[in-house]
Amino acid sequence: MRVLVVEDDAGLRDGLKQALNAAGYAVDTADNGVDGEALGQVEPYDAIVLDLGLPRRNGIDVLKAWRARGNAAPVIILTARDAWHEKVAGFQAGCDDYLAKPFHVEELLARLSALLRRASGQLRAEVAVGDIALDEERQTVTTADGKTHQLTGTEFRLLRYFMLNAGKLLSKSRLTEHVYEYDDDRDSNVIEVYVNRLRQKLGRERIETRRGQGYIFRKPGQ
Amino acid sequence: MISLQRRLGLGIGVSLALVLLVVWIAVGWSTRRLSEDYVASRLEHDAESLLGALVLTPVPSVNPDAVSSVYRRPYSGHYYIIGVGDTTLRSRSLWDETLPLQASDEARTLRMAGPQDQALLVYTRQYTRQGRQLAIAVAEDLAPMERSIDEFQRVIGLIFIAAIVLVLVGTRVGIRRGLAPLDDLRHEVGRIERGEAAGLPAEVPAEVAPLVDAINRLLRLTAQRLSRSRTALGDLAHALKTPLALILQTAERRDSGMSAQARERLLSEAERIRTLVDRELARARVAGGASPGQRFRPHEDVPALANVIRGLYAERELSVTWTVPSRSFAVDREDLLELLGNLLDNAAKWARGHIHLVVEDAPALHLVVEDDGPGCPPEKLEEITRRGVRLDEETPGTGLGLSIVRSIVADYGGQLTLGRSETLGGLQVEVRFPNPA
Repeated sequence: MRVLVVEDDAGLRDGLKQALNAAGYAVDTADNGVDGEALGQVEPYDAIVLDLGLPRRNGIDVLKAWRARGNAAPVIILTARDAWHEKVAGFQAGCDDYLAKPFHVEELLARLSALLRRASGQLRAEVAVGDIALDEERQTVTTADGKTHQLTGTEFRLLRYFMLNAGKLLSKSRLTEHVYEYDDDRDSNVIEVYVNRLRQKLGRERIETRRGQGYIFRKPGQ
Repeated sequence: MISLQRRLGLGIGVSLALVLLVVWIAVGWSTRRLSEDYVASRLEHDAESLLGALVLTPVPSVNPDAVSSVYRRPYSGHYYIIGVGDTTLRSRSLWDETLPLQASDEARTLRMAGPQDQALLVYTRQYTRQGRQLAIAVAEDLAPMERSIDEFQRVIGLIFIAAIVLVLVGTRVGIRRGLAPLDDLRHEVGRIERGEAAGLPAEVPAEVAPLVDAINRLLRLTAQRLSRSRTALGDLAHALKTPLALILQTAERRDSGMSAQARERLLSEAERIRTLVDRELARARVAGGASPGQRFRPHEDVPALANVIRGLYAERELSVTWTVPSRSFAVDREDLLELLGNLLDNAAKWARGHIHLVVEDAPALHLVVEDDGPGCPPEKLEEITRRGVRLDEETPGTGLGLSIVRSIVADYGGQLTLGRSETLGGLQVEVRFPNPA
């Protein structure tokens, strides 16, 4: 899952990036409204954390611009401006959640995870497909036989993206885009390596290969 | 209190009455004077005629054909008496009355009472004819003339009184008319107070225009100050909260190198600062009843708020329903959103699945928020509103919501009632705003 953080305070921005990375998200950052708007428009983010009091361009205007151009990425507004008329303005501009500063990182992570699950149509409080359940906190996966497997950072990111998009055909480049950050070296062949590692833990048949097209994480009965 | 109307009316009325009284007295006096002079000159003329009609030999007598017949009718009001030596000739009209005769050449005019309550003016003089001294007194009754003059004076008096009344009424109407723009201004100021207008209208009489300008300047200044301080507070919030977020974030990091005790301490202090900042900012944000802000439009604002609540509690699938009128209210929109937002947020924390909001126009603004949560025992209700304490520490929130609600309601002079929802079974919060002035 790839997340954009638009926040002008350097300390907070770096801290958020670290915390989100630790929670298994690929994170890009922008420190002003104009850059944030451009990044959000160009890159396929799964979620965006947006501050409102941004230099160069106001967060509300950035959000309105995205929505006006059909960008439907889930957005959490993270702001010190927590009056109710400001929350109303935020939701009217098209945000999906609103978190007031100061905040606890756990709460942001919980809300972000819930937002991603909602966006993928998962109604359960945890990420699960059939008999496979992902523990986002510990970054482990539990399989049908009750065994729990530890996941590396990239494995976790890849598996979460697969599970939140279960049943869909995902190309290698799409997987790369959502698992790696903007500045990372991207080699789509590496994806193959990680898919194989996941197959070892979950069983070969779980992730189907469509030659020349990509992979499908099978839903039960598929 | 000083009344301009009474002051002006009294001044004009008293001075006008004094002037007219003097005029009335002067007119009466001079009319009497003129009439008397006229009668006196006629009497002198009659005396001369009598003198011409006087026959001295053989016995002094008056040629009856040469004098007017009024001298023959008894008590006619016209009399004469002539003294020649020992003989006294008197007009028949005089009957047996008498008139004083003058014993010198100097003519005299005097007043005396006559028969039958007559007020006589007597002209009396002594003449010398054919070497004989003779005295003549001619008199006329002034009473009829005086009655006419009295009548005349009464009529003028009445006219003057009517004039005074007319002038007083005219002044009163004039003052009323003149001060009417002030009355209009009072209504306009009332509208500003209720938030229905931002300033006073510019089309006013020239005399009132400076006052209106001054009031409008004052209003602009107040609005500017309010918006400046609100902006400054918002900026302060932003400035304080971001570093506070950073403090929380640092303390929560597992690799921060802090002992668990130090971290705990730091977190609880940061939480305290956050609570204080939140509370003071929320209170300071309340505009209160006197601000000409945006109006509250329940049919637009309530659905927007419900949308926020659904977004914030997306996991819970809350159903939020409402009944709202289509009119707008002259209360600050931001204050109302803050009030309702906190009430709905509180309801959402407790509700099992349903929140209902009613906005009523009764005729003042009346709000009811109810939920289907566990409700609240009566003895706790008072405590909750008073201190903003939370009953269940497990439900997230700072417990500030209701205390902010309470301070907003207090600022507007409204009434906050907590109770049990009859339809949904949970907590019911009712806010009643005072009737518009």
